[in-house]
Amino acid sequence: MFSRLISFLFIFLAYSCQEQNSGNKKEVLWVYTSLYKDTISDLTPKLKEDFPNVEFKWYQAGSEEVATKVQAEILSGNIQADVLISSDRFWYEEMAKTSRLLAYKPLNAEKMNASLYNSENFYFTLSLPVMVLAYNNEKISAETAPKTFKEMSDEKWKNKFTIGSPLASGTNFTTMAILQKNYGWDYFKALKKNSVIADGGNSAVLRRIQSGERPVGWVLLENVLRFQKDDPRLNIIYPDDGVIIHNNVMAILNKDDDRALAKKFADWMFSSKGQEAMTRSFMYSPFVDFAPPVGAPPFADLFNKSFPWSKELLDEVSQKRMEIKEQYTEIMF
Amino acid sequence: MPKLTLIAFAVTLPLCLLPFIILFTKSFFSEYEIIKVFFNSSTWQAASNTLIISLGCTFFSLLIAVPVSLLLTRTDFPGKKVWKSLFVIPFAIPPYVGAIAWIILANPSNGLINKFLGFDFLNIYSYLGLIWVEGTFLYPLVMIGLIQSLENMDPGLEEAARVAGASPFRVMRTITLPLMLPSIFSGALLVFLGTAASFGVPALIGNPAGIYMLTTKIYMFQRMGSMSGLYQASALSFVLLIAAVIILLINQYLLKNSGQALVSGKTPRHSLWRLGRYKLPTYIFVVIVYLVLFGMPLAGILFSSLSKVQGIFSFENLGVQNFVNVFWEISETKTAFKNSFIFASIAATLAVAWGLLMAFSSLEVVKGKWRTFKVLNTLMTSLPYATPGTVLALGLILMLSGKFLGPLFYGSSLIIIIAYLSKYLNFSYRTCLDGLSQIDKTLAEAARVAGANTPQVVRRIWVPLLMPAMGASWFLTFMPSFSELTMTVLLTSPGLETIGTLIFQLQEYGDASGGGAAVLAILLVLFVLIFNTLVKLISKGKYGL
Repeated sequence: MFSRLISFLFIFLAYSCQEQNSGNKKEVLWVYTSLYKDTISDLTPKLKEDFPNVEFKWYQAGSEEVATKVQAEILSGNIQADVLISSDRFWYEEMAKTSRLLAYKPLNAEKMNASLYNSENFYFTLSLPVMVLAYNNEKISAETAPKTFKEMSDEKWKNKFTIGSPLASGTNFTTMAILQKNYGWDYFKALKKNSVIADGGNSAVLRRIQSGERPVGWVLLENVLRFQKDDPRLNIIYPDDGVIIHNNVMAILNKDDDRALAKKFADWMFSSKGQEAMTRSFMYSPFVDFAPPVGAPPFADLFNKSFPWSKELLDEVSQKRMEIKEQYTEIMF
Repeated sequence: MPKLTLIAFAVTLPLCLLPFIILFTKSFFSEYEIIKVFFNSSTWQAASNTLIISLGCTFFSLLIAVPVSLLLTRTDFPGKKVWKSLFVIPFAIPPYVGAIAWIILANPSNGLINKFLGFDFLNIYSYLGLIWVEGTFLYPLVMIGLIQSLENMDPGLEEAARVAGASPFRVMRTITLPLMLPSIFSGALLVFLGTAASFGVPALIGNPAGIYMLTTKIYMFQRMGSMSGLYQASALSFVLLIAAVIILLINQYLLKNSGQALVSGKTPRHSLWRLGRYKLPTYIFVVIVYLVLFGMPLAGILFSSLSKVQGIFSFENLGVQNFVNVFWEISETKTAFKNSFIFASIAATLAVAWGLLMAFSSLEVVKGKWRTFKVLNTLMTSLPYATPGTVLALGLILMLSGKFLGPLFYGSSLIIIIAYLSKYLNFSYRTCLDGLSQIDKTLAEAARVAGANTPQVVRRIWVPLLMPAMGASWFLTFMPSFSELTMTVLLTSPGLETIGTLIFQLQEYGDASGGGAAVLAILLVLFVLIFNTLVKLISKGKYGL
């Protein structure tokens, strides 16, 4: 039995070493991102053309997993990640303050609105996901469908509304923080009274809308647009009180070695090739003149009608994140 | 000097305790005031909810496992072998998939059962709902050990009582039940700790119900997206660890004097209770119980996996589109199955070896200061199991990503395998210990007297007698590792996709119909059924469950 065990161990070591040795000649760039797998598969062949001698290694997970992994690497003192692309802007703010990021202004970046990047160039918005309302027209007719985020606290939406969990998902936290800033905690107390289901990420919300367990929800536009052609019951509402625009942010980690490749990659992502890939994944480009995603209205229409991002909001929420989540928890649980 | 105990200690310390020590030291000596976490009313609320639900779930698991185990070992119930396997299968399904199934079946708005029966009082979003869902997937932890100990029990003991004129119930109460207690205890302990450390079900069912548990709270801190959040998460998981240690110490104290040798070396052949005219009613009852526990959620998952679009109830909406999608359109499916299989089998094999080492070391007579090592070994193996996976993963990253170990471990399959091994070692250790503690030591002594050397004793006495326990430990580690999600997501790297990361991807995106996770769940069940049956056939019933 023991000899068998030892041979097993041997195979196991050989197996893991084999992985280590494959393809070491190329230059390697580690990109940690919350971009979806489809987007990465879309980017890969194009990157191969323009960066023939680079091996891109993607760690793909949710924004929060990306943050957790990077922080664990920082703690251990050995950072593997080179470039970060994910949607929790507050985290990038903290990373910038603790000097973990490299200040670099990618090509074209000066063309975007100043509210979309860090004033010291530590990070730039690569694309813009948008939070909207969506409903299932099998359960709710177009006439009775809600018009605003605000009215979801109304008693008539009891047992009908669902959102993602602000405790688990970054875009849902941002949405919660912005609505709280505008409508106060009473809004969330009313949602609780309406027994809102607040759990999971945006896909989970969409699924509850589809299954009819909850016919209305707040959810990212990209998720709905992607599924609409398969499920025509899904309808999008651009709320009258404003959509909530999120920032999918890109940053380069500050490391000792030469950062030239990371910078070149950043330039590429902000070029039209990179930006087209973003809109193909149903996100808006931060450049106003860029075409919107298929099936979505022009960016200006939404931008004029969105909850504003201010420097104050960014600072306040970055600092008080913990308290906001605690307070939310107390109301909802 | 107790050699085995020391070897076990040397292996267990770096894999089960060190990751936590590193993580906690970093947290407690950081610049943040993490102590505040403990003086927070919601922390205490979460702690008391965790206690209530874990106790409830333990009780519920015993309620299923004990009678069913007795029925399948002590009566002439038809088709016992098949039923034994059937009752263990739920363990192969990741509990959160079960949660999704039960939400489809029993949510108060449009749950299938509520709709079908025309009422709406079944509400899965409740304490009872949580206990129910966790329990229906965790009871096999009690049952696997229990069935084994019932089968291996020396029939002479029960026989003697019966010959002396005791009624079946008296035999049960005074002989069988007391002999079952150690394995009931260790199974119940696994269920309790497993519930307390679980995350998927508390999130899916507890969150909408407004029931907050410690793991949900730890998760919240961890997802804060800040350094202080990370530190607070690890500080709070310290509470879970301490609680686990206390429970384990109580357990050790309670079981101190209950070591009986039950296997005498003769093939145990128990005289069976004849069910007689109750056979049919009992059979029907078991079928119904099984359908409710497992058939219904499986049907729910099957329905979901066949729905082209979720939530439409029509024949036109049914099809194999989701299966096609998972098999042909997602490029990683094949790699994911292969990787998961390799990682989980390596982890399971190592876990059995390690579990055996631990179990044998517990046989060594140790006194004085060495005793501490023995108790420490037992405690250490339980820590990773009693802690949320994300915390263990963090500790492992800290331990294995540095300048020296990093190149070998971090970003390779090794760190994932170590994570599985560490997390589920507890199953293997307890099952091996259960198996070993029932074997009478005189068998080995007899062999020695007859002139056998140590390898011979191991090969001719221990291995054959321990085979069932080893097989069970292997499966107990393999199954949860095969579909593990929370740790893998943090530890994975390009090319190391597993079923867990695939499920994650499907959950988050790329799954137009929402049926992808259901497809994988169905595949998992099928895979485990086929794999288990094959193993059983090839080994003529020696291995497998």
